[in-house]
Amino acid sequence: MIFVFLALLIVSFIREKDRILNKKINLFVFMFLSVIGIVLGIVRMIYPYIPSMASLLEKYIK
Amino acid sequence: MNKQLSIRQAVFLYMFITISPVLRQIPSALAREAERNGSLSPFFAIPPILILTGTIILLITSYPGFNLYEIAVQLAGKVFARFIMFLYLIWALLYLSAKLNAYALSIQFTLMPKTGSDFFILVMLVLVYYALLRTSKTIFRFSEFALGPIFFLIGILFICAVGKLRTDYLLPVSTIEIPSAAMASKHVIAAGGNMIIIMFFADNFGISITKNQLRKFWTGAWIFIAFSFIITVFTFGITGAPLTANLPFPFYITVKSISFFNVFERFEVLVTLICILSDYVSICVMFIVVMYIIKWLFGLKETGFLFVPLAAVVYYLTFYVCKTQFEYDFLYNKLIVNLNLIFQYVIPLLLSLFCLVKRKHIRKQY
Repeated sequence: MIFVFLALLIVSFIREKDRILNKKINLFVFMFLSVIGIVLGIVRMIYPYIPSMASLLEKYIK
Repeated sequence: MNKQLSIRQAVFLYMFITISPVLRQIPSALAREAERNGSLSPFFAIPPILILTGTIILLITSYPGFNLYEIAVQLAGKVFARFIMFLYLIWALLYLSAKLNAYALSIQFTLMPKTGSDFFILVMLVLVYYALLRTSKTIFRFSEFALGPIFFLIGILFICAVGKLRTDYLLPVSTIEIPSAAMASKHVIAAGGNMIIIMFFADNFGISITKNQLRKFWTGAWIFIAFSFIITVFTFGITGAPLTANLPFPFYITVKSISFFNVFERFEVLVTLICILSDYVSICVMFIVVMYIIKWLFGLKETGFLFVPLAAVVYYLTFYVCKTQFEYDFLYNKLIVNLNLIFQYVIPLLLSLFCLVKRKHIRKQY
């Protein structure tokens, strides 16, 4: 799935490049969110059975 | 002045997005915490929901033409407003991820148990993208158009089910258990608090708001309370509180036993459809809210190009937040309900207190 999102991000960047490159802040926010999404995707690809937030909380909240 | 959105549409949207928590979460949560007395919990939710409605009306009338962020800026300054919005961003992302999980788990439970949740989430993201291409007004119009037929359908189901209601499942109500029914009402309050989402769109209402328009907020709040009471009575009266407490989607099981004069049956598919539609609108609205918050935090002029990176973040977050029905139930009961109470009641109430102290009528130029 990460590759699909990577391709979609590239397509989205190419389609919206005028708006994204219009201002530095637009580029920054786009890149910031893209990097977070990709990092989350890579972590999930490497550790598919990583414990979820709910299961971690379950240990501490009763 | 050309208003982009009317209060009527916003109230319809509020009622539409509260359908799925009322059908899915509220009956089981109330049965778990207050057993058969849980059917009284919606009454204990009346004061907080009416206070929230009053708060929203106070903020809208004090600052007509302003949204939640602009009101927070006026009341507490830009730094504080941005801090509040950052907290709202975290809440909205968590809410969105949990909503996507709830939607996927509902379809798995009711219709397609062998299909993975990632497929349902992807389909939803594509549909949300399609809706957002056509501006937020499409979503408001959709809820305005679809709410009437949905309430009509639920009314028919209720008429068909009246004969099956068992009073011994609902009565007697024990006075000793009243405190637990009052405590359980937090689930109804948390669902009813979705009205605060309207404040994110309040700048679209225009600056001339009449008393008649504001009355729609009260009507929406009363309809929500009545709807949650009817659905709880309906579910408890047919399925029974002990079974309701242990089911992930008790209303679905309740509707399974209903038939229309023994001619039409299997209405439960329609219940799933209603829930999916409600989730779809909720997810669209929360996507818009997240994009609005990012826009305010970073001072952007437009946010349309952020959908794909945001969709990637939300898609993966759904798997990091929770994976199974048990995890979702735990997260909803222990975390999301309490966070909802803070973000839907505590923060708006604090803002309204600031507002009362520092009340100014500011007219925004269009």
